[in-house]
Amino acid sequence: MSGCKRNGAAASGKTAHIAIDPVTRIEGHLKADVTVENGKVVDAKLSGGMYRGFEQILRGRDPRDSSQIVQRICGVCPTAHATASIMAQDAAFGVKVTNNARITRNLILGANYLQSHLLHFYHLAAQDFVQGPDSAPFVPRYQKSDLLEDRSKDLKAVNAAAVDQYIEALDVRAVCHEMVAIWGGKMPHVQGLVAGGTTEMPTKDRILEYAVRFKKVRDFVNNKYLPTVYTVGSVYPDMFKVGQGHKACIAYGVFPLDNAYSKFMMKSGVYFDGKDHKFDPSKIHEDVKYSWFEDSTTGLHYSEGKTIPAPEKEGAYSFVKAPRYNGVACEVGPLARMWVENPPLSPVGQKMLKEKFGMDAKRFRDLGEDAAFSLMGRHVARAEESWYILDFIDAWLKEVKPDEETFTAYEIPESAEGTGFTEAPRGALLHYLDVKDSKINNYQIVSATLWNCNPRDDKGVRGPVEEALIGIPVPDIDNPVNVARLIRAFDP
Amino acid sequence: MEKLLVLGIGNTLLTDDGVGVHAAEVLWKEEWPENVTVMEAGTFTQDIYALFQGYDRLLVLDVIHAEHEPGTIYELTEDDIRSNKKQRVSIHDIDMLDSLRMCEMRCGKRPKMEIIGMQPYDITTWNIGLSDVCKPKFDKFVAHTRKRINEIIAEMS
Repeated sequence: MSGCKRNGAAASGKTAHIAIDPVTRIEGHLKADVTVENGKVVDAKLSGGMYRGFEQILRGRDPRDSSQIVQRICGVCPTAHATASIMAQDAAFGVKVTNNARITRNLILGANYLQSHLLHFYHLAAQDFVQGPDSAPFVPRYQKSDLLEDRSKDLKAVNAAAVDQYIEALDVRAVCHEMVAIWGGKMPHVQGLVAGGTTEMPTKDRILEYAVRFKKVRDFVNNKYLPTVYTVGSVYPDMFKVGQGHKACIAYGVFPLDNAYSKFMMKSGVYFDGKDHKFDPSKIHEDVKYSWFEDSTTGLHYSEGKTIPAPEKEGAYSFVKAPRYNGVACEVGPLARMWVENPPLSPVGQKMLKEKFGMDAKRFRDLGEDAAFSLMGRHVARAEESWYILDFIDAWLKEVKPDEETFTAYEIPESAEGTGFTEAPRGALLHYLDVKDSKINNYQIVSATLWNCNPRDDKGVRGPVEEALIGIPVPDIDNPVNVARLIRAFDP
Repeated sequence: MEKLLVLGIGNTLLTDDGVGVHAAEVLWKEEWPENVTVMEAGTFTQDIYALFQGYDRLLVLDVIHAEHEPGTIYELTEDDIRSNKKQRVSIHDIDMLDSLRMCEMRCGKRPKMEIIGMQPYDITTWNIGLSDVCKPKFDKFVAHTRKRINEIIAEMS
């Protein structure tokens, strides 16, 4: 967990170019090139340098294999990829899952959400704010990291508490993994999520096993994680004013509350130009002008999507395609979901926003567009979402029926197509499956990081994180700590 | 009684990258004293430290790139890795040394680690099983590991 490495800053007068490669403490590989003028970022390019090729690997295989293979895309949120895959299979095979299956799936994904959010704050992002011991995994770090105690010596106690919680969160995350494993089999890479439902039926014992563990996680979120995010945030009021980006977001809906998938814990919706729009999947397309893929494949809807790499392409700088909704670069993730759903804020949040920021906020949107769409706003959204899901998990534990069927049998049709829409902890996720001769003919994945970390589109408009980097303060080009903070706030 | 964990790590979908896991799968079918555990951890990263709890010794099986002939078998200690800055790289920025440190923070103690590794020939082709170059060296790799496990058992008793 090293700090960011700087590949060299070339200062020419007041302009400096900084390359951070790799951006560490994220899930995968990312390089950030930023141009700094007068202490602020004026241009940014994000480059994903790793070609994955999952879509090619899947071609020609049994469609049921996809939910196992796609989980290898992400070690933090394999459950989300499994969920998207089995929902695409459900749709293609024309299978309706039982109530009990839907709830069991929610319990598996819910536990993974909590694990992922805690991992993100404590083990990936917190080191941008908290001074850990001078040993791995807390070093190396930037010389001038602008940490809590750099801002005020009075924060020793807060800092120490956060470091203690770092260790405690390791335990709590292990408990979350166990919760996933109760019905998923193991974590990472669960076997329990399958087309038609889940492989394991909830029994009284298993429900109890889950509930006992959940209580530990619940207490930690309520008593430690949530207040700590607000306490740290209050030391960085400036971080609520930067990183707004396009102020556009998209959410597909996640944690279905009925079998028609008409009601969700976090509903679907799109927000851009200051207005809410109904989510219409036909308005998604992917541009590749600046991506290392054949130009002939640009502007396609995912159901027509092609993955033809062109690593020598002039002008391209990333293996990430640029998805757009109605032509707009939308960000995804907890902020997008919280903005679209606009749920009530936690009592802790309401109290602390009043005390520390003088804000009278009852629901998420009361934060206002500028504070919500900000570097720190994204951390607050993630913590509040972790709180918001707690009561839902409690309700699902009461609703799930012991020893009641969670699997519906199906036949694999000769030809069919289906799309699975869900949300990974880090944002909107869709898997598209096309079956011919009962085998996978085409498989397309539009993942959360694709929405957030994409390069310019065909019109030259920056991707969401690239745009959010504009204006980020870099007072000292040898310590571009705010650049790393902003990127990590998206949980890429 | 001191305990040993033998841990195969790597990605079995990427040809030779899976050598440590394949070796663990052979070794765990064999009879070992009760203070020896053989396990595979695949590509488990952030949370691998949790597996170390309660062990005094850790023997990791993996691929190692040290620019000798493919199939070459290496033995490394923690000090070997520490003294070479270049080795502090991992795909998720969490390497074994960090994980040992996390284990120490978490449980107050950690096992002493050593690594047996093989120089790979191919770690980029999607394929389950070793390359034709490394395949003939596999039995030797397992035998070498078996011998080392027995030495550690003797050291522990």
